[in-house]
Amino acid sequence: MKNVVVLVSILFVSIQTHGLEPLSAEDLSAVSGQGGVYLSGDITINENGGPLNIDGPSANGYSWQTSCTTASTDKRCGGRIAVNSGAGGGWLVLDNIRGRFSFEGLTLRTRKINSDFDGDGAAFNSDVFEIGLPNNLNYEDASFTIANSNSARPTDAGFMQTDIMTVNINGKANLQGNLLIFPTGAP
Amino acid sequence: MTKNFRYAILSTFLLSMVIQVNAELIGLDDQELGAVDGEGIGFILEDFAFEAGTDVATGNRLDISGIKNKNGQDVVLSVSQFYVAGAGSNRGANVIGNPVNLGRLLYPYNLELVDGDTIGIADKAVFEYSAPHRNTGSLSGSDSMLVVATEARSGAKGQRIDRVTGIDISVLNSRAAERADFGIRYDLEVAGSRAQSLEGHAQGVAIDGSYIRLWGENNEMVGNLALKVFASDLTFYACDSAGNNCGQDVRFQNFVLENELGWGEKQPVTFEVDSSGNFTIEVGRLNSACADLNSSGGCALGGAGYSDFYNNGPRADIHIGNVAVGGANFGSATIANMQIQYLRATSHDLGAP
Repeated sequence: MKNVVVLVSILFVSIQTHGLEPLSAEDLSAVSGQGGVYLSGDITINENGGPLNIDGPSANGYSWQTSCTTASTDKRCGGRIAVNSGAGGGWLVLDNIRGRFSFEGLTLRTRKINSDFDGDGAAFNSDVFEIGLPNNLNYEDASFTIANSNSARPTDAGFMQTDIMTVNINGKANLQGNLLIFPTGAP
Repeated sequence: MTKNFRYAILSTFLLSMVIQVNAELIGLDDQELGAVDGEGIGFILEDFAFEAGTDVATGNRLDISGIKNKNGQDVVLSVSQFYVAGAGSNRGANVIGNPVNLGRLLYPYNLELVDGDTIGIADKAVFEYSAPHRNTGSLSGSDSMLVVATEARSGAKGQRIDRVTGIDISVLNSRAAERADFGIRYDLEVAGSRAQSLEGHAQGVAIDGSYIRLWGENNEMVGNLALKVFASDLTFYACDSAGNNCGQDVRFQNFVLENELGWGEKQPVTFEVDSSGNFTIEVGRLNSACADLNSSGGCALGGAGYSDFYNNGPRADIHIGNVAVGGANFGSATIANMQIQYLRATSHDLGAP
């Protein structure tokens, strides 16, 4: 048994040294990942008010549950992001985040740029991360509200909120182009 | 069995040694590491065009609500077109297929954490989101697009702008192909019925030199803002509720806005929400810019104490090369040397009981 294990390990060593040749730095630099990713997405957020509304407590003084129809602007419906602007102060709120959002044909890949861009490409001569924007975005009652509030949750005691504006998007937005992301400065 | 296991571990170790020896990773010494300077993340939009809200009849809508008129009726801004496109968009008629590059590879939109010591905010890491940088202009001699003639005014410290003699495009890093056209058409809906249609279109827009800087101080969010806009043409007009029978347009040609809000730590801008849920923006007092305060909180040295602020502090300048209404030219207009010493604005909810 002892000998078998030693033999097997020697066998492995011999495969490593003879079978697989390491790539030199030159060879490695010639390797270029050509693949990419093509994505489509269909996202629905809080169509019926979100999990707290559906499963939230309604007894013992809590009142999370409410009727969240599509048209409802109840503060308990939809997603809510509240950021405290200072100790002891109020909250900057992105509220009522609801609706359906879908796209087809978002692409992700890396790309070497060393030409074009009205002469900038040659001077840039570097890699970028490219997000190919989909040709259209479809919205179905996608909405959000920008607001200020005195407390983080709409169920907190003495809750007050000033809604600045509400945006509601329906239908299709057309777009084209690529978003290029890259490190700036001298790495 | 234990022995065999040890052999197995030994052979695995030997195997890994073989791989290790072949690897070509070389450690960085302190000097090399010290030269690493990851400055930020650059963004540009290549061949970009965007259009939303068109074809309202088939249900494409982008509505902005939350406004009421004086009678308490809901006012909705129903956007029937919002677009971003390249030059020659013809007021939104030519958008998809007419793209623009926003930002340049060498001068991108940039997101980074800046060392506050280099921008007058001591010992802080400052979050900065900036548009493409500006050049020193060949005509203006500064990063301002305005070529100005200055004069000394009695009662004022230092030189003040007398008049604008020209616009220096060489300040911008965004070239003609990187200046966007954008515009918006929207209908005003009052209490559910469409009242009026308004349109605004901008051509050749660059926001080079703009930035937003944010940091924290005394448990508060503090910032500095700069909004610098150049548009070769701005046009506004109103139409009837069906979008027809449009009135005469108001045109601003060669529009330049250069506005700074806040001056590092000397005059911070704070954003906060008070305990009743109302938003407050405050451009701080200049106390820290003044060496010696008098009993009422002003500068003991009077205007002399503020000379640094007057000469180097943040200010707002607006210049319009030509204002035209309905085809009649009114010539140029300039508002210059506006400086804010203190500002506090608070929102109030009129709908609250």
